[in-house]
Amino acid sequence: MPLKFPFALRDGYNALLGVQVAAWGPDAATLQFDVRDALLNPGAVVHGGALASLIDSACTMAGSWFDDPKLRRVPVTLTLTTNFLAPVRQGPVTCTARRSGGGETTFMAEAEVVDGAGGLVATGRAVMRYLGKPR
Amino acid sequence: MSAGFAMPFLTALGAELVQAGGGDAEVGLVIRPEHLNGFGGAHGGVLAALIDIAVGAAAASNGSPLRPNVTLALTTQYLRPAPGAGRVVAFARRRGGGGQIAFVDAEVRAPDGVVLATGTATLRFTSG
Repeated sequence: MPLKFPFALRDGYNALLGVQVAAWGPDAATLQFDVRDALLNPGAVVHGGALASLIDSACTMAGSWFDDPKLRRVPVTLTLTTNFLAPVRQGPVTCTARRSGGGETTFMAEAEVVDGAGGLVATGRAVMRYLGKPR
Repeated sequence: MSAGFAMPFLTALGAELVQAGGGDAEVGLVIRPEHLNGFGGAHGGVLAALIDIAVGAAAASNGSPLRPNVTLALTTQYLRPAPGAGRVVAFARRRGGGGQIAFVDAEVRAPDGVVLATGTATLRFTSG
């Protein structure tokens, strides 16, 4: 059955953040959340931890697409590097991640985050590793 | 001290500032269902967020009055899978910097003291 976008991620933490999947395909994923009071820091901008979390989830999904869902493998994050380029006041906050290299066990992903005005607000790079062997 | 860190995201996450002073900070979090990933462990973003909160508090505490700051860059290494329950604690320590910038390292420990993740951050003060 084809996926209908957007759809909400239901695991506990992504549900807490209100993460929606806007697009997902081979080696790429786009995730979003709306700016809510719960995600703000004292300066009334979105907390960097929330952005880092969105980046981590997007990089994870970028490596989790398999044309045959039965072959799906899910990675864990080994290292996540995040740069916070500009304050975020306006949603929706959109993170697009793509797999940039690697192999069958370990891979790298890159992510960009834009705010509701379309400005680049954060970037991320992740090194990830699949659990288990290729099926 | 806590008033200086009134932070909606900290509250929403359920984290608590245990202490901060002299460039050190400690932030605790009891792992609950809303922190879990699909594997049933704490989501990597939870640990990154906890580290970000801790390094910000550590940088802010290196002076009086508290110094508001923003994170410019944060790198997190996930050394071990995080548990799906129990209380984890992020310890952060300022390593250097000056009047405008702070370099802060952090680690997140499981209840048994095992290090789950480490972080290194660059922050910039937003006032003074």
